[in-house]
Amino acid sequence: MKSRNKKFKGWSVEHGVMMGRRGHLWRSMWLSGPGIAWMTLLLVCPLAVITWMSFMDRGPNGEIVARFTFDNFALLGGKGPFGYDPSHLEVFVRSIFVGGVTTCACVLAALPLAFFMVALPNRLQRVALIMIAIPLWTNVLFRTYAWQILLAPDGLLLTPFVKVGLMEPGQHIYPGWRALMIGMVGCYLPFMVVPVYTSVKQIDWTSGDIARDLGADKMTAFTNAILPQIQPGLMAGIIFVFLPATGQFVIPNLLGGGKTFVLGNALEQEFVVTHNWPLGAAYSVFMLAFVAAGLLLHTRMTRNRQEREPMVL
Amino acid sequence: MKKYLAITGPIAAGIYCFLYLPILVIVLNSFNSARGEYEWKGFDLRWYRTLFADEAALSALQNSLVLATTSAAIATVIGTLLGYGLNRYRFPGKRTFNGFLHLPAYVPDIVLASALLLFFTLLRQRAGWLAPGMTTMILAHVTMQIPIVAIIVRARLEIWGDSYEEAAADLGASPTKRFRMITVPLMKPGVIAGGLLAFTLSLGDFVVSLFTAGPGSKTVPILVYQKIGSGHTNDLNALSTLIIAISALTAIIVALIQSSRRYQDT
Repeated sequence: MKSRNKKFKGWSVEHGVMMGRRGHLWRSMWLSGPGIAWMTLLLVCPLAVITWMSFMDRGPNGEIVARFTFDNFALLGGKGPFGYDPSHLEVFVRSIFVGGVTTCACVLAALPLAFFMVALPNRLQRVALIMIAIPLWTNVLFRTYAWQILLAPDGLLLTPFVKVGLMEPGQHIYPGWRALMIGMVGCYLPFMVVPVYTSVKQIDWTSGDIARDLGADKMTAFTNAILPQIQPGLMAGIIFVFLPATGQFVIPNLLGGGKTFVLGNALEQEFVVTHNWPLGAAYSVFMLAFVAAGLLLHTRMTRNRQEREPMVL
Repeated sequence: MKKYLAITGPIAAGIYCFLYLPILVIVLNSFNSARGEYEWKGFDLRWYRTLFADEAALSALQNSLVLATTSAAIATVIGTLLGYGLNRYRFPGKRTFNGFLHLPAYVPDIVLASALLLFFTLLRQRAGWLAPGMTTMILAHVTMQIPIVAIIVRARLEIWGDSYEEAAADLGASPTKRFRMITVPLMKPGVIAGGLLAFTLSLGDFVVSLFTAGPGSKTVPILVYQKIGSGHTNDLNALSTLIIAISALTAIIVALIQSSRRYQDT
């Protein structure tokens, strides 16, 4: 398509129609126009408003004053009203830690699962994939609340452990870190499995045999010839889990308890409970910058858009 | 490849159990005759009977379905046009717009939810528009759904490229005929899959709904969330099971449509 474009500058033959720049613009306006307008009005504008809000000041009664200030970001960075106060910084560290551990656990679980899936006959592979898609599209709130039931001190899941003697009776893991991580991995694992599976399915297995013929041992052949081939799927999965998991709200809220106060909790608190919108907005802006950085990095590391859109199941 | 099965098989079985355990707990307990506890006391449909006598639960179910259907319908129309337009035609700033199109999938939903909450509240305070309720929820959900429909439709069109249409043009088919006989059939599975995914996305959402809902537009997840706070949730398992069943059914249909593509493709 590119080579034809060069013949007449700005003109091209596409889908059997000769079209110039104005033709493209005119058709884009009618076709993409409504979508662009909608996304501008209801995605770009709210994000712009929240960015603006993060630089606003608050009056003595907590009302928002339209005065430009960096105070909200300074507060997040540890400059509290009574000297150094790292509590907001700790929220970031904790969130990134939760996101990171979730991502690692999902990678470790998704790899063997993906290798298992591609070893199945085609029909069963489709079933296995559908079995991943169902939890992926099931409401996170329901699944999280089910973990509350399962992980309760006298709940279904812990009773066997108590009977065997691995756990003390009455000892509980919910609410707490362990319950939080179980809920997080259960929620995000399908998002990792789909792109990793797509990559594993495309592996050229003969390169492993070639490596073996050239004298590599089994392990080297696997790590140097097979694993690099699934890097695109792995990258897509990591980005698809790490970014949203860092800002997860429902799971820390229901399974974590007070010790696992993360970004999601902080946002809910500032927006719904204390109504400190500028501070909440500053949290959002940090999160947005984090996501934008992750996406840009991912764009740099991938060759084309198809590699970046793994969720097109 | 087969030799890995001995190691990966048990791991995979464990992972599937892990993924389905929470769903099973809710579904099984909705048929459990026990009250207020989670020991199996025998099969019983009483929670479904109480559900259909419970006004609040029924209105939440109705709200959820109205929200999902309306938003999915709007998003399917706008998203299909957008996917087709992005696949075919150029405009300045297309790359930047593409970036924004991907944002809702990666931005944590609570960031999107609080941005929309702030935006709607300011609009109401400054201009008197948009009281929180079904309208704000639909606006918010469509914003999440448009990218998914557009991306799926565009991906569908990209599989085939433009060779079929060029062939038809060479053979003398008019633009309308080409669109009707080639483009539409190529796009159709993508449109159906995108629309259904938009519908499930809406049913699966909780955070954005919570932040944009009004007093009269409580959906099932919001109701469940409030009941979790008050402790008594046993009777809501039936309601959750209905939503899970609808989501699962749509997810299966979508997966069947989308995976059949692979077989035509290769």
